Amino acid sequence: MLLRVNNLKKYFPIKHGFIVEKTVGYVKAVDGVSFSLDKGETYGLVGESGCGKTTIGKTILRLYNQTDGEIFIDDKDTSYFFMKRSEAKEYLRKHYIDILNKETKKKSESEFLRDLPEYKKTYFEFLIKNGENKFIDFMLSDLKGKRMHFRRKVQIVFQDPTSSLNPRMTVGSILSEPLLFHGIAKNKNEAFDIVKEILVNVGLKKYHVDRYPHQFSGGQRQRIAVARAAILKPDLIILDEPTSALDVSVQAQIIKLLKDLQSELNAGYLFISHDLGVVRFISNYVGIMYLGRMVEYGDSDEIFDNFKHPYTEALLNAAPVPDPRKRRDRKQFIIKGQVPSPINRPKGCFFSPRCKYAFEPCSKKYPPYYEVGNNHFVGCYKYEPKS
Amino acid sequence: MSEPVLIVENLKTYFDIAEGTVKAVNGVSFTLNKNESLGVVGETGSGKSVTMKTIMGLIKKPGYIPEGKILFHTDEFSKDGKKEYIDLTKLPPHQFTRIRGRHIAMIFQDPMTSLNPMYTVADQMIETIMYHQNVSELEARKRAIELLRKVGIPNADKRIDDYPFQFSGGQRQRIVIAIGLSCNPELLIADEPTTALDVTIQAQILELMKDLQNEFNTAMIYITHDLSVVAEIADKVMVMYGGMQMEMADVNTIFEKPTHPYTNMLLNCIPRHDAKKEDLEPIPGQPPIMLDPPNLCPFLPRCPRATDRCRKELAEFKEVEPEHFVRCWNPVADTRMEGDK
Ligand SMILES: Nc1ncnc2c1ncn2[C@@H]1O[C@H](COP(=O)(O)OP(=O)(O)OP(=O)(O)O)[C@@H](O)[C@H]1O
Ligand SMILES: Nc1ncnc2c1ncn2[C@@H]1O[C@H](COP(=O)(O)OP(=O)(O)OP(=O)(O)O)[C@@H](O)[C@H]1O
Ligand code: SF4
Ligand code: SF4
Ligand SMILES: [Mg+2]
Ligand SMILES: [Mg+2]
Repeated sequence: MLLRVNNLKKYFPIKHGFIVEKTVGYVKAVDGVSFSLDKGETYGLVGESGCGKTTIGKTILRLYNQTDGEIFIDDKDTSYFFMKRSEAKEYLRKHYIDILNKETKKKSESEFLRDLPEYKKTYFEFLIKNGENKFIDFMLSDLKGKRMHFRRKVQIVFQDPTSSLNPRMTVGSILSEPLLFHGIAKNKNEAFDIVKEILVNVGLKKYHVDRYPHQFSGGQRQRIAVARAAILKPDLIILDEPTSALDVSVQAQIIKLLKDLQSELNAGYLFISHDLGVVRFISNYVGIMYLGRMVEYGDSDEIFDNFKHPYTEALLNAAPVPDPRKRRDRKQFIIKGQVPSPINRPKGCFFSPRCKYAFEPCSKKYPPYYEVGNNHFVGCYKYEPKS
Repeated sequence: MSEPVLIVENLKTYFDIAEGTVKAVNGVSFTLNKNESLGVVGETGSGKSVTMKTIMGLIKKPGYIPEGKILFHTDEFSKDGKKEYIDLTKLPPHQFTRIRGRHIAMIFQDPMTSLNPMYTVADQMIETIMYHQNVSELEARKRAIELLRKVGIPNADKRIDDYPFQFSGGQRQRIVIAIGLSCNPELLIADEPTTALDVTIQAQILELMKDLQNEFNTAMIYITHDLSVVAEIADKVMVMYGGMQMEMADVNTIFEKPTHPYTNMLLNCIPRHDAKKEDLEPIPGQPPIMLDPPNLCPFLPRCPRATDRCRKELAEFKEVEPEHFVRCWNPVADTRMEGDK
């Protein structure tokens, strides 16, 4: 599996006070999100502003360290790669050593290993065989090399190509920088050869190497940003609203480019967008998010055609479609109010104050996920199997 | 039928800059009736906002109107109380204040450009209402609270004394709508009012605008680059490209029989959440350059149907069937054949 995100949490502390800063609460931007993604596939994340999409992307990219949870890439634990040494040790203790100690009180080592998912087995086998200290030393060895490798294999494309490209650098320098940094090209000439090739690949011209970002249109600049993400042949590309700033006609060009590039690189995409049409078109799987959690997830077509969660229903019915004959009868679906703040979340199901189906259990506890179809999960009490 | 509220004839707005002349609006004509809503769509830079700013009398130097008429039906300057057509292009700036905000209101994409962060909502609304409706402060406050209620602000009687930053983005946009409507305008121009908002909030605001339009019989112009929103709200649609109208018709015709190649291709490249699409057909090429454009079809560099004629002369904006206008030498005959589903 290319990417596994297990129970990911990211809380931002809210601080108060001038001289002594005190944490008075947390913005629970991401609060227990799990999903996985294979090479060549696209996972779409949708949801309204502030639901935590970008935070998930940035945490996977390790621009933030997670508050809790695990991130495996290519079956390697990357969760602690960018932590301080002491924090990394703490992480390894909590997620490996403590688990082993706790579990082996209940069962034998071999039983424990047998029950583990394959990708975790190697880690625990090493731990059992070599003991805590050697395990930690091994995990923390060559962190610099691990980080370099990670930075090469995971890339991001942001929404706004204007602010993500250095205006003082030519396209050639922007694109050859990562090649030189990672030692893929030995010198500038070699780098420029690769750059010219990728420019043609993303639909630009070889002579564009000498131009500056401002000399391009918005769509062309986004092509440059895509080229920069693709030039190291990454395994995983995080696309955070890559087409939202573009014209409809140009948006389609970029989507097509991304699709072509994916079949060429066989990369996995995490595609973040609030544009439901674009997400449906490009994704194999989707997760619908509300207040830091997924409310519904699974196969893309299945979700869009057979959505079950009341929030998904409201979202999809609110999003207009380019067909004037389908309008007018949608008033019944419009949900009142707005998304509550992630600092002060409602009790029980986060959607309950706005949900027209809310019933008795909804205000007590956050619902678990129920499987309602082939690879289709819903976090809503309406779908609790009757027993 | 009653007379149109607005008649725009061959309107042009140019900007003279160092490099040459930007022909932002290059011969636009349309009429708008009471309670009618016109959706305006088009590529970025196609002249949508400049057209509306021209109507609102908001074009400043180096911009000017070399040609065209904007006839607005109003009794504001009439001596006998009867409505007459006033050409807004000829209206001196000091008289425009009697039209703007009073008979024509505008809602912009970013509500903060129309709200003053230093004043409470009450300050901003009551002043407008007193100025335009000639009522006492107390009465104006009552009307303002009523309007805020209408646009769905909870506890309007208390929240009216809050400052703009104390509201969410969606609420701020609703306040701007309330202010826009506070003068009960004959014409409401909305320039991408929901683009920055989430879909559930957008849906609330679209419903709200439809309701208020029906209630007050307002004529509305709604600018957006989102064709789905147009399908939702417009009676009539105008498609712009390179400062010109490419096509104009009632909303069903535009979506079912898009006759101009640009409209046709535009509709084929929107991904939909309610239908599975195996492929998208992007429009190749780049958006047009508006600086000293040749007097030819602006879509020419990207058009797959272009012929020699297109390289020689510009087609007229012609009525191909009643109320359906197209500017093209080679219109698409049997329309949305390819692409859709
Ligand atoms: N660095 C930060 N410090 C504190 N709070 C943050 C930080 N980054 C994000 N947040 C908060 O976390 C929540 C999730 O934000 P995030 O940017 O992930 O949302 P999003 O789903 O990407 O929204 P959008 O669609 O608007 O981009 C929001 O409430 C946001 O205000
Ligand atoms: N003050 C100005 N000076 C010079 N050129 C201008 C000025 N205002 C607008 N333009 C130009 O006029 C053209 C039309 O702009 P306009 O803002 O009307 O586009 P639009 O259709 O509203 O696009 P968008 O969808 O991006 O809002 C553009 O090429 C723009 O650069
Ligand atoms: S759990 Fe209850 S409140 Fe939450 S979405 Fe389902 S029905 Fe609505
Ligand atoms: S006039 Fe010619 S170039 Fe313009 S849209 Fe029609 S066919 Fe294409
Ligand atoms: Mg975001
Ligand atoms: Mg505009």
